[in-house]
Amino acid sequence: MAGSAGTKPAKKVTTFSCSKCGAPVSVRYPGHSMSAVCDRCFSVIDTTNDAFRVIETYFKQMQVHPRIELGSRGELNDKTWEVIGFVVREDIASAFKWEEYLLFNPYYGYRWLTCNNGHWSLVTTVKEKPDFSSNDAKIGDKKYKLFYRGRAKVFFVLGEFYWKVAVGEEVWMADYIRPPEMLSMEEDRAQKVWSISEYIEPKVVQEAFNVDDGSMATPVGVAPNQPSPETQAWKKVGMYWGIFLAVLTALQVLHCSTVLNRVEYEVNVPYMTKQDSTLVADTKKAESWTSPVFEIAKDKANVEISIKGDVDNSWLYVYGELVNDDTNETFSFERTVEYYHGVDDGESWSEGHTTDRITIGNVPGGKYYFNLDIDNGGAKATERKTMYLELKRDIAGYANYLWCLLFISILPICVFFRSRATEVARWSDSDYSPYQSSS
Amino acid sequence: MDKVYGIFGVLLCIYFWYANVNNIRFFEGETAGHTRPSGPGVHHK
Repeated sequence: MAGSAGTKPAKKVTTFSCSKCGAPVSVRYPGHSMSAVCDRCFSVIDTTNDAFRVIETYFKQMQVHPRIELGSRGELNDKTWEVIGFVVREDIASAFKWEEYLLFNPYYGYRWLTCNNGHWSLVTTVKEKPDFSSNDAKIGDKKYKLFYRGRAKVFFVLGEFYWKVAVGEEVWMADYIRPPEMLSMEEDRAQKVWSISEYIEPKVVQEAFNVDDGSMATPVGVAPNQPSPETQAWKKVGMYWGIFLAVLTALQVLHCSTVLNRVEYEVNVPYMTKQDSTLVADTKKAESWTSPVFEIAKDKANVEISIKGDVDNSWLYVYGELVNDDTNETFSFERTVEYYHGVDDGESWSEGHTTDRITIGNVPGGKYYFNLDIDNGGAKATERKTMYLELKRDIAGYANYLWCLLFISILPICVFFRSRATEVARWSDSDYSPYQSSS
Repeated sequence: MDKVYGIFGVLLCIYFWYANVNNIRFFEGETAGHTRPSGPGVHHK
């Protein structure tokens, strides 16, 4: 408990008879309150002098019952507040209603506790006036985005107030949001008042004022100033994401700039073309070819083997082995190049390619030779042709980089879309939503 | 969540660098993938 003197103010309740109906009307803070509402006949009574003049009497077919009883005390932000007034306001354009509870502490003054669609905010009046740019308002370093602008009127009142309240009283209002805060403006002919409201979890209000479950409204949707864990998470995760993308890209650039990327062996390999139209490669019928021994530099690195075939509406199949001449360690591979083209119904088409390549990782340096079995088919004539074989040492790989980009992006993308869904829901009731097209 | 992601990202960057230096490929199983002749696809008559 913040058991300071400020939390237990001494009270001197004044009770008088309603000038309209005679019912007793209590004023909890005479000297502070300028008007009070008779809870039997709903007359608003001037409490600034002992005449207790009726300012206005209004009638409601249905009385709105406050969720927090007038006179209740509760502790919010380490200060004790007493609920002394209750106002229901209505947006004139949409007839949307929300509740406002006037809180009072003789040492700290007035605060408002608002309930909007089951979401609660504690409102404090500020003297500082914001600066404006476009649809933004700025106080200090804090920038608030315009969320609502319109006219509202008092729909229902109960309790006592620091001004002479009147049902039907209209004000211009504007709300600017920066969750969990909302900067609000109320303007009438006499004055313009700015206030900042801070979102409060309904449970905090319920526990502070000991409100029973039945009286608490279930929060609907996302409140304008409700903090979003998803958006908070996105701000951090998004920042990390950018950093990791930059680091990975820098490492990849470094990797690409330090690899050998050198042709270690290249040769034209002769073979005889076949007119066989089947599409079955058969190593038993293939021509065999063995290369001379050549040297591969660098201790441990990958090799890229490229095959370019002179294929024209035909295919070339190669089964190969890269054999270490000293250890007989063998790296085998299979590749097919095939290229087809033609004209169908006056439209030319082509498929396949004349070159293919394969990368083999972790090939130790040393002396190597190739064993190749070459098969082919679909040629127009049987003739002698060559295929080009090339071995490159230490090629920059992109697969690891792409995998890393995928792994590092999954969570941020999910968090981004969740955050966006929350923000779209938040702004769905606003005419100033950044998520709507301007048309 | 952001802390776990931060740790994961740092470890991934370190492993990426280590894999590049040591010539390790993620999911290396397909390095010597096989291909066979398939002929012209949609245009084959």
